[in-house]
Amino acid sequence: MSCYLHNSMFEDSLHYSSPAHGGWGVLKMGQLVPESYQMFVSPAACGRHGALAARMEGRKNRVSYVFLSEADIVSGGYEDTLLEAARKLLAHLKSRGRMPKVLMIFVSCIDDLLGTDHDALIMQLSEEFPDVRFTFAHMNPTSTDTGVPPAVNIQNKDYALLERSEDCDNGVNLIGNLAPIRHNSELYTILRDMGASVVRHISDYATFLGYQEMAKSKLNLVLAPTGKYASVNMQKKLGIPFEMALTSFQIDCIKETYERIAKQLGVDCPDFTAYEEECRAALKHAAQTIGNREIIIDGETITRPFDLAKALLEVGMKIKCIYQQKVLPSDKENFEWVRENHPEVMVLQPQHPRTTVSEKFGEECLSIGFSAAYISGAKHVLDIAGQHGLYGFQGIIDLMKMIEDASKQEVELKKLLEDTVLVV
Amino acid sequence: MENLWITLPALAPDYSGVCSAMFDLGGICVIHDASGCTGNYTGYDEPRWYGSSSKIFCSAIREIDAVLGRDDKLIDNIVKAGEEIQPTMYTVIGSPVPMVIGSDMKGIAHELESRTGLPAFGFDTNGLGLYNKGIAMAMTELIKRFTVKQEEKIVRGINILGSNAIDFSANENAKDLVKRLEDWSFTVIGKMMMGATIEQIENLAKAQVNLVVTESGLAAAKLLKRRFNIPYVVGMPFGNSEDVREMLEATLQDGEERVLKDISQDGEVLIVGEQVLCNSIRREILKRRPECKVTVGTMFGLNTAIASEGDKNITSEEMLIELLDSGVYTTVVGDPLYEDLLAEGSEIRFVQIPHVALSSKLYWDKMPRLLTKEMDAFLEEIVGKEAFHIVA
Repeated sequence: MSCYLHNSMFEDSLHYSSPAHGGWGVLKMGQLVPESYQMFVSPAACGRHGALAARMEGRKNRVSYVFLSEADIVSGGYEDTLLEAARKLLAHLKSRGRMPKVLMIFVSCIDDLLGTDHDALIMQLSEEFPDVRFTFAHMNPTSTDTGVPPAVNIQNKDYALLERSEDCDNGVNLIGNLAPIRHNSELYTILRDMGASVVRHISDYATFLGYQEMAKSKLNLVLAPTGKYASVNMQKKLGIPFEMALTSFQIDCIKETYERIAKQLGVDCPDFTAYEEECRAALKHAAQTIGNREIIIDGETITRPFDLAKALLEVGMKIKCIYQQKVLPSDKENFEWVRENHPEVMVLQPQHPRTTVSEKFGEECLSIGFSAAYISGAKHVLDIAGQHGLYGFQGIIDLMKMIEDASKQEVELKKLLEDTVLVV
Repeated sequence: MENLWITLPALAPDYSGVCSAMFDLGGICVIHDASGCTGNYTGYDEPRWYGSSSKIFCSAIREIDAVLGRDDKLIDNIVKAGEEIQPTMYTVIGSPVPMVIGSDMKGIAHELESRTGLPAFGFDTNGLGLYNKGIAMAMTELIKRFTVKQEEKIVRGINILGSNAIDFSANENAKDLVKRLEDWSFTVIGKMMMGATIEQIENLAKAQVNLVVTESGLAAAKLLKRRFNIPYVVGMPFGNSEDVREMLEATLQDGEERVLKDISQDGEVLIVGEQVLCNSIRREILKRRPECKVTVGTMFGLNTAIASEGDKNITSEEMLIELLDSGVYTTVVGDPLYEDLLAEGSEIRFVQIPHVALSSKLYWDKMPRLLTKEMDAFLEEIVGKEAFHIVA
């Protein structure tokens, strides 16, 4: 295997940040909570990219910034500054009839080193503003290699705002996926067939009160690995059990996931034969349509790129390269399978400095993801950022259609990126 | 409350200024941060990033590295990257975390230099300062390191000081400026920093005069004056204006420093932005409408050395709102995002000129070419059609 891997380990290096690198960012993830407002407390620079991304997407009216001075930081704490800013900000919002239900106070990397007493601040603010919920959130990428990296932590913070409900129902929550699952996915039909009265996602709610309905559900399905920590804590706090139901592009994995969900719900698993046949036909058709065009998979777009690679390789598609900075535990088995069965597939770290001096090898390839397209030079690009709500059998069918379409036309990547808001 | 910014985003920070200055020099630059600071620069402060070959990386510092003070890991990773990339030099750039843990950026640079034999620079930036200070820091360090005394000057040799993509954006502004100076029979020696090379920096002392086109170039101008006795002119030529040319010619004759500036007068127009560019816009307005009351203000730290009486040092969003709400100004010229601060129903006329340091990629492709007719429409919008053609 030609790759940047050293003794089977992904190399520790400086990080290259391509123009196509990035995603939602924690600010946007926090803004999923309806009627919430974000107050960043950090050195000025820390908030710049999030604020600009929010402005680009029309979300800037839900976030403000408290810029810490050197004196604030050197003194080892900034409690007074934070309290004063929160009061001023809430007074400002109140005067404009925009009092939030939740004030999410974001702190950055340096807060972890300064040891601010968050609980005391929340207590004080809660006393002063009893109608507002306060919570601290973290934009601290220094924690990326810990058990609770930023994307995991913020989802936990979002769901920690739910309160235990006495009225439980047969609803099922979808946790971990930032964008809602596409409405054409069979997931909704299957869950209803399994007795789910309603399928809930955080993006369904316009009000904080409405959002509390998620606490009524009887089951959480964890669709992305970053949602697991929140689900564990929801189980403890709200009594909602969870089932891992990660997005997969392998038919057998999807079937197995649905079987586990059925078992968890205590119902018989429906018959998937029709879905399965439609999927296999879509995979076959896409393989025939793209012919010898090689595919490049981007780990920034597809959460578990080796899962997708295995699915495509098994139907005869050719994978030129997989870009992934580090293999997720939930994708390790697929990674090992690719490595063992298809040693011709390159596995490259997109952020390795070597990327900047490597030849662009993929002009004729089809890239599933922007970052991989930029680095490899692929002219055929799937116009999706993130997994775009793809899930289940229908996710495979939709993805195959997108692959076929992308294979037929070249795109101007720079233009695509101009229209895409990415935050590192 | 000065440090509460409710509406505007943060301004481009100091570390982005250092990276912007180093962009063309073929070195490896490393922002010592976890990821977001590098993301600020590559994603939002560098309009030249797409398709560039510049080697600017993130150190990817993690909690454990910060706690244990793993400078050795940083240095090892930089050296490893250097072995593959073969850079001309190394630059390590601070961010908030190294500030808190007390990383010695100059010490790290010293270690890099002794391990690789290549020039290395360390900057104690921290994300609290602004981009223009970062550019100034980088320029002065480069000059201290590379610029050598020359026996002979080049007749009408000139250095451009302070051209940068955060003020100029990535259109043809920098090239237009070189062309304009050449049209004025100057020989451009140093293009600091858009289009700069180490060789140019070595030869800066061959110039007879320096032209400071943004505030970020002033510290370098003062250093070059002190070390090599090169006088400077501060001002950015706009459109077909000859003001800067006349100042350069005069300075070539008498060796005196000159700054293109006029007294701020409250009452009509408020220009907010980069200080030197604002001064130049004010001059163009006054040439067409001498009676016009024009005030210049900046949010990037008013440099008193090139400021006029009445210029505003706008230190916060709150202060800018107060100015906008004061009823003193009928026209405001500045980045489109400042318009978000206007009160509902405000009758202030707003004339946009994008500034990457504020609005980043939202408008960086709308930055006008300052030395072309594109400025005509801009000035006409400020002074009105009739006054536009009256040039003193």
